Amino acid sequence: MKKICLYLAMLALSVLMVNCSEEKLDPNSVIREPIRVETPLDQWLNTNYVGAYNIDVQYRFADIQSQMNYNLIPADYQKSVQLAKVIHFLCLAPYDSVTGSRDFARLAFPKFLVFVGSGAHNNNGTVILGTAEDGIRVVMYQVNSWNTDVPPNPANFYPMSNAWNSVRYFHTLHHELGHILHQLKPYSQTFRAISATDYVQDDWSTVYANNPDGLRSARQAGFITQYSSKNDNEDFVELFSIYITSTQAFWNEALAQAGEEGGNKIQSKFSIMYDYMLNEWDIDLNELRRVIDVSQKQLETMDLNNLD
Amino acid sequence: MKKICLIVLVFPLFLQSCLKYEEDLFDKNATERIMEALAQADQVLRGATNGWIMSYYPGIAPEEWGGYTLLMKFEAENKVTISSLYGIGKTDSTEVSMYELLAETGPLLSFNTLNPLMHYFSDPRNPDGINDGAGNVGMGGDYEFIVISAATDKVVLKSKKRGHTIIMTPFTGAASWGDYLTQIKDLETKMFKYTYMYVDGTDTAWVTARPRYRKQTFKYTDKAGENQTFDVAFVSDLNGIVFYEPFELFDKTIARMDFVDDGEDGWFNASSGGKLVPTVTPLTTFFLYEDWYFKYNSDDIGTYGFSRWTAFRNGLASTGRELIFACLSQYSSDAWGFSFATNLGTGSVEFDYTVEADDRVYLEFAGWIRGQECIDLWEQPNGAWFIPVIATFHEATFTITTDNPKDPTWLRITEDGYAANSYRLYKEYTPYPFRP
Ligand SMILES: [Zn+2]
Repeated sequence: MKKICLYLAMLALSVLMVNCSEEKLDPNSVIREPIRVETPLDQWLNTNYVGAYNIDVQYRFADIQSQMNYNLIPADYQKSVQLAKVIHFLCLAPYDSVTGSRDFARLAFPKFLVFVGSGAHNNNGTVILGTAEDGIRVVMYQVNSWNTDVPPNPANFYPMSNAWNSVRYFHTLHHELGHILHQLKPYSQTFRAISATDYVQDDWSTVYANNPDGLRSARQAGFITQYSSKNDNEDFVELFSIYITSTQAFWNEALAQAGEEGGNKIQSKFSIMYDYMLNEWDIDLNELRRVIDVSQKQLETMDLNNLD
Repeated sequence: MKKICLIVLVFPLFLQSCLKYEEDLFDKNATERIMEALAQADQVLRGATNGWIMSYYPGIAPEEWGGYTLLMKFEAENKVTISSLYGIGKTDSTEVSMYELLAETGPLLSFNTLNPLMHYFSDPRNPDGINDGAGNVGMGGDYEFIVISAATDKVVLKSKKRGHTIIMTPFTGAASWGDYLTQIKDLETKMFKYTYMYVDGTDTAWVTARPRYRKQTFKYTDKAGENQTFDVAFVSDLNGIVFYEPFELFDKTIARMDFVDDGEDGWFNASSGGKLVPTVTPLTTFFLYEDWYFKYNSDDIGTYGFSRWTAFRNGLASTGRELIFACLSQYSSDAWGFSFATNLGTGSVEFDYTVEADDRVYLEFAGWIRGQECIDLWEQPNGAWFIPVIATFHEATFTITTDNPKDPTWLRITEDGYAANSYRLYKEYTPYPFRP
């Protein structure tokens, strides 16, 4: 008797959904949700994500849709509410504001955002904060650790944010969006040439330790973060995502720490990336950064639990 | 000369088997049948108006962490309310989250938003640090369950990744959830106090009955004169303990044991007809069969060891490590010794032992270490501050004393003829011994 594999069938289904992603997502097409009652968050998402951007936010955990290799737990409902609101305000809206419409975000933003409560822990001690698959789906981990009450920490890696935790998530999201951009329109080969011999691939976390010394060495080698040293694509999107979530003072300090040689490399790569965004996507990163900064300040007075 | 043999722990791979469906899955009748099954299961779940008692088993095997009682009530709008005694759970508190029934090989019950009482068992960083540092598995529990059968008096589930059978029965009777959990908690305090001997006629077995987790180890000598040992997992109910599955001992089947509270030590009547009776246990038995945790201070570590532990502490810190726990324990079915975890991994150093009297034991490094983290600490330069700690137990006879010979909360081991080499070890799990 012929058997079919449901798992594969479902994968095929999601590919199908991606291929026709120009259309509005049809909630009936997902076979895994037969007895589901719409929550206030579902209703809010229908308007503000599905309707506005054709983005499906999956906060209910479905193991089959995430990484089977990791031990994961679901996201907390209330944290999902807060995160969905903050992403909408801090990550989607600024692109609308600098490009003048929702078209850019509709085009370049991943179609699926999957919220996962825990981190994805590797055996080597590293924790994955977000993963992107072919620009289609971004999995955001550690949603349960998200804490809007944490006061700003000036010593933190990303000093721009007042709710610094948020930047950690947004940096991840901008990082993944950056991948989608370069997959849609490649950047010039000259970018790759600048650090071509310095990329260390999967050894990035051992070559540049996860501490201030490791960060300093990475910068001196011409990388804005340790992870930038992995390969040119990661380097490209780290420059993009760190820049738009950092103050100019932070950026200057990073360049100063990099020294002359490292700083020059970072600068050269940055200006290629900056021009790419301006010429290919008509986005001035300085303007985008200004809008994100203003939004972050407004965020402080927003009620993140309010879905009205 | 010492032999060092490195055993690489192979983590089992959990392969998701392909879910096979009959070819007619997607024809309309089959889809309708599945929808019907889901609706029926949901009706049963929500039909228990006082909720359900779930006998839950996390772990790669049920015997890994034993069983846990969770009370849960399913309601409209995918709402589930849970109460338990574990993690942040208290007798009088509940946590609300969402559940869903999904279509897989049959209805799949999924707890798909965070419930700290359910996901305590599956969080890769267990909130109490259980199994932390070991590949970030935590207690390895499932929170997705295949519904095998659903009737108003019993729901049988199978945990999706582990395949454990999880039973739910309706919560009945006049007691509130809080009263029920309080009664279980009180009963467990009485039941798990002593070491017991299983007695059935002339057959006897030694049993650990002061478990940190709900599992018991049985040790006995069979008719052929071979030493046998096995673990069984259980949950507690209002009368005693119920095993994960019935097991055979001395040719009889044991499914449960009822506790008899006579106002003194009490005993258990096993469903086999045998009994579990409290026994006077040699201190060496406590020492060798249970887990004993180190604390770091000059009261609990003698002057000989203290400076070595201080160097150990400093060495760990200088390499970006923190000690999560250290203990002397039977850390696998065939090895006893010094077992520990750091933030980077787990490890153990095996010792051979010889019982010289009820309160005296001779220890000697067996030449085997396990775990990559132990290998990393053993090798130079780290070995310079790790091995001296291990050496304090090597080739020495220790005399054991305690606060309470029947129910020890600590044991002190002191080297014969060298009182400066002494440790007080604690029954209670002691996390982060180097933290102030
Ligand atoms: Zn990336």
